[in-house]
Amino acid sequence: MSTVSPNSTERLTLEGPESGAPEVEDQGLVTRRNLLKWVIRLGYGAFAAAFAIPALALQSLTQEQQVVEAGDQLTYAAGGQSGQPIRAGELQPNTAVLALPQNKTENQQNTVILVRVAPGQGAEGLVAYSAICTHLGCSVLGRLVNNEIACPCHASRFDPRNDAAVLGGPAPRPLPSLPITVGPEGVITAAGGFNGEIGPA
Amino acid sequence: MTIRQTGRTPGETRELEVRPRGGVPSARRGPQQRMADWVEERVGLAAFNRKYGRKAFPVHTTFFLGEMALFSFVILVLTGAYLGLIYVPSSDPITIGGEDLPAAYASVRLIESIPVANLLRNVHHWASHLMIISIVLHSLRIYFTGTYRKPRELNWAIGVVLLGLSLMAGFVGYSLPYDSYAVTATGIGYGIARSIPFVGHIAADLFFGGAFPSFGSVPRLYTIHVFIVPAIMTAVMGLHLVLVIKQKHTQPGYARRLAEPGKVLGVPLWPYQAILAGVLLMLMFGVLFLLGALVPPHPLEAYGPPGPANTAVKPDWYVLWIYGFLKLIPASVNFSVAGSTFGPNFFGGLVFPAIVLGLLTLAPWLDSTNRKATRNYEYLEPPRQSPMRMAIGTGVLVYILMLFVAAYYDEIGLNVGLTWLLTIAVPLVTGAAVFLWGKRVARYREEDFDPRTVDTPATGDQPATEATPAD
Repeated sequence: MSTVSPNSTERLTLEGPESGAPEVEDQGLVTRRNLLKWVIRLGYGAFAAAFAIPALALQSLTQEQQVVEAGDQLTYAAGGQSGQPIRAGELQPNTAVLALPQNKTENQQNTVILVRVAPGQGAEGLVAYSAICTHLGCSVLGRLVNNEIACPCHASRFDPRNDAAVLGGPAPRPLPSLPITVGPEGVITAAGGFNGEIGPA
Repeated sequence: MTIRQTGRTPGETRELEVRPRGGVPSARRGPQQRMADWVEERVGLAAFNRKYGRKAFPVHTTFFLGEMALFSFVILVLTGAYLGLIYVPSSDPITIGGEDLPAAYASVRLIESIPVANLLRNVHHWASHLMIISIVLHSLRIYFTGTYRKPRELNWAIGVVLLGLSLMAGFVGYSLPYDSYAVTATGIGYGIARSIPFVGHIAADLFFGGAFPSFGSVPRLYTIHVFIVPAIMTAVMGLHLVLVIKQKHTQPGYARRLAEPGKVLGVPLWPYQAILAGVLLMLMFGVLFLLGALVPPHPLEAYGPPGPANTAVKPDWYVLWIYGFLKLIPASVNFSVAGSTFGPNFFGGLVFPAIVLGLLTLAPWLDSTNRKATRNYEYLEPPRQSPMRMAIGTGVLVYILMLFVAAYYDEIGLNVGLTWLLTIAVPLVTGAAVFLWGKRVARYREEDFDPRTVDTPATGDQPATEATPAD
């Protein structure tokens, strides 16, 4: 016991001068004490894994959602006419309306804001963008504010005349746009999917 | 009655006056006393009572703030358990009166239609506000009187954890009614969680049960709200209270005049503090039931079931400051490292609150008087004794208030630049003004607050007559 430093009096009183365990342990031998320590550590590890593995398995609960594609007819998303097809003639200049593709209304990520802009633009003056704000996924207002698309959550603003470019607020990128065609009797159908990722990336 | 003086070192407890105990022959006792004796012989609660029931509680209004937070938690558990008996944690559509509604929404509408359940739901709502207000005021009292310092740094940090957990419980609770408001607000939370670089998708899907709103979301958030967070909070609160018992309460300034230095002055837990606490609990129940009855939170119809149309959604005051900051942070705060984006939502929604709560946690280590501490700080200091602490505290408070303004900047006709200027300038100016005023009025003398310094009581009154208002 000549190696004990002057500061280790506590250890001496705890383990007694006859205990030789610390010296043996330092040599890295498999002693009963070392083995038991590793068994206890293994026990802790198994305990942690028993929680970690089921915790990571929890993430797999995501629903498959139907996304908008070419040929989907646009219907009113809200209000009294909810679910009925939108006719191009029903939208006045410089107004907007929220739309959902028919039969795919369960997935609200499909919500579209349909805006009538100048006649030269879009399909017969109509343009369609994703209504899900690219900032944090709120749905934009179903009407124009100062001729701009506005998100009520964090005041992002988009230009309906310029591919929904960001005019202000925290949104990082424009709203994805949806190509549309206007068919007979003014029925509006999607001519493809959105041209970008919906909502916050 | 007795006045308690408890020594600072464990075990050094003495009573100035010992109340007579026992001594009555059991033959003269009634059945109730005999039953109590029977239990006592087997369980031995008298020793427990001698050790903990005699703990001294200082009597001061601000010393009830922590208890208010604890009692709010108790009220939240009681009312929450009742609501949980009716609530259906599912977003699956069910048809009610020809209308397809998410089951959670429909069940909360059922709660609304039962008067007593509706009242308890409102009480649950207001108790959550009361709990967070109590925690905030509790921490402000401790901050401004400098009692987060040695030896209570760890308990201060534990308190900040409890504040964070309460904010989280409150925010997760938003999702449960599953109206349009709930889904929009929780969707924002999901967007923020997803913005964490590298692990955002996994973390968000784990917490929100898949891509929110998904059919896994409500059960996940419900379990987090009613079980996981409250269970963690119960454990952490237990630790918080054990440390209060171990380290003993700090002392209001008047205690210095009335008790010997190094002695704790107050009323014993049993029965005096218990009576005061019971009165407080009843008072809180009363206020919360009145609030619940007269000032109900928004009914479900106000926003309706979740749908594509969106109304403006603002969170409650206790997360409104984060909301305000999110609104201010420009989209240009955005860069990529190793293919992962560090964007404004990550910085505004997570890094910023983490910095605020982190600085709050570190307050004891940032305070230079504490770093140089050679003694324990057992007495409350009047806030103006430390102008710098008062200035920083006021500045941060004003900054949080300015972020409330920022949350409304577009509605009150400000632009982003001006709002940024105001949110930074107003707190700085306020802090500087408070500092200058504090410098003028500060009258700090270390010996005024050093328990080792003995001075004579200001008056000749007996301490016992003044120190025991409950007597």
